[in-house]
Amino acid sequence: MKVQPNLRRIKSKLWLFLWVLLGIVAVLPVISMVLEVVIRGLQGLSPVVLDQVSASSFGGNLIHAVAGTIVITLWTAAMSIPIALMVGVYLAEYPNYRFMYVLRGLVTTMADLPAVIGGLFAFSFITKHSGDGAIMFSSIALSFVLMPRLIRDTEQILRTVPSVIREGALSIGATKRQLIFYVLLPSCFRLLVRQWLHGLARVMGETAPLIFTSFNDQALTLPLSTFTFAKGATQGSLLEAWGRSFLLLIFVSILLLVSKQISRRVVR
Amino acid sequence: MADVVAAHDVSAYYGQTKVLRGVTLEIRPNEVTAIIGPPGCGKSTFVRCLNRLLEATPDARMTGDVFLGEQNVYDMSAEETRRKIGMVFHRPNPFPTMTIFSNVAAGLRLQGLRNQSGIADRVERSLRSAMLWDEVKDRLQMPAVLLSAAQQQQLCIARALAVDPSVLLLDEPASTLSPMATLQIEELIEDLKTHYTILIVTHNLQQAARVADKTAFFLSGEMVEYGKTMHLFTTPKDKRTEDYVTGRFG
Repeated sequence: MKVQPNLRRIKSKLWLFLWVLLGIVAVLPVISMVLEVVIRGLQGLSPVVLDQVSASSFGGNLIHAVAGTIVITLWTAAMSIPIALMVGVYLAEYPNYRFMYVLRGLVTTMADLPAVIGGLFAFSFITKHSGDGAIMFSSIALSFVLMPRLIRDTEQILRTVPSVIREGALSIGATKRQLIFYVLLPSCFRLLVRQWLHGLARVMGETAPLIFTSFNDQALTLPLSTFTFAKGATQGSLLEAWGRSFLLLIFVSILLLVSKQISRRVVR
Repeated sequence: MADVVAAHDVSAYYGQTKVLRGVTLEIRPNEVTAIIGPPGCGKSTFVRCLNRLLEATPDARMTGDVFLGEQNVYDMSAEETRRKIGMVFHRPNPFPTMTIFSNVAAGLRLQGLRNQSGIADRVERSLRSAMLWDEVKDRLQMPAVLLSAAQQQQLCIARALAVDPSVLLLDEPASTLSPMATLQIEELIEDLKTHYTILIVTHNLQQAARVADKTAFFLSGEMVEYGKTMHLFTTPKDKRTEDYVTGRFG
């Protein structure tokens, strides 16, 4: 059946309108959330509010939470990235071993587990309940959340390298180890770093796993201290919570921006 | 120096499937030998047996012997075999994160060579042999992936030559190139045969006729016929070869 040109144009415009509308519906909540966090967060970080609240200070000192967030994120990175890299390479490059099936199943299960279970698991390692190990155990808890995701990402990224590149390296006499370290990892480096930073940005905002491992330090990290202040439910404490959310948003945005920069092609 | 490559009763399997059935073939030095045949006849598998690249494919294995000169390639390490029997693939595959220079130098660096001037000399010599030096000498630090497809393939040839092989396996080296670029590669092959033993896999009969001194016809994992290219195309002994070269199938 021949469709009239006019009707076709109208249909096309209608569909286009629908897609734009759906796009706006999808983006609107994100934009409004970011605006809310920025506006209220800036109020929450104003010196007057900070002075008032730090007097009662039940949610803890701001600097303490910022420092805690940075240190715990760095520890989590140091613990997760090397292991995730090794296991990811193993899964992608040594596909003939039976142990791999068990390992991949385990990783997939761990990656899909709720984050709070990571915290509970790390909690099971704690033998001495004192404030000394809060940073270490919290980093371990976050590593349980981050590592399986990074392993999965590493494996998938390595698999995207075309087989002709692998064969090219082997054909000039590269050993398997040289193939991995000289060709494959450099080829995927920027993608890997991007996923590391994305993963870190994600765990930086995790609260649930830290409930068990913070040893009642309510201001160990920014998300934990946001949670504590929000529970306070007074005008001042809510503003504090917004202020900390705003800082968290800044940190996460910095990580994502850096990852974008690193994503540029690296040539040696 | 170019060496004879001799395959004796080579069979290959992917899992339980036999894809190559007892191929015996001697490839003479300073000649171009072509392998022709329809897709899936075992051409590429056969060349991967010669430089032991088949071992890198999961579930693949081969039986039989391959000799390089007097030496059985299974008495050498797989890495040494692959350095002596270089290979160029159907698609140009320069290492994407490396410059032109690093691509050609890659094999030397992997061998542990650290002498920078020595490496630079070998890179220049290889690029000259691949007829690419004049085009890239002023931009050796440029990413290799920015070269044209034909130049990338020449670069891959230079990369293979840099580790000083005596044999060069070319697995459909011009299948993704334009007719002009194909001509360029064929001229290069003609030039290289004075120094190397060359085996080219091609599904392009005209290309085999143009570049090869001898041609082998493969069908369903078997080598049906092998002889001088002229004879194989004009007076084939086997009916199946005749049917293939006259275009009745394939």
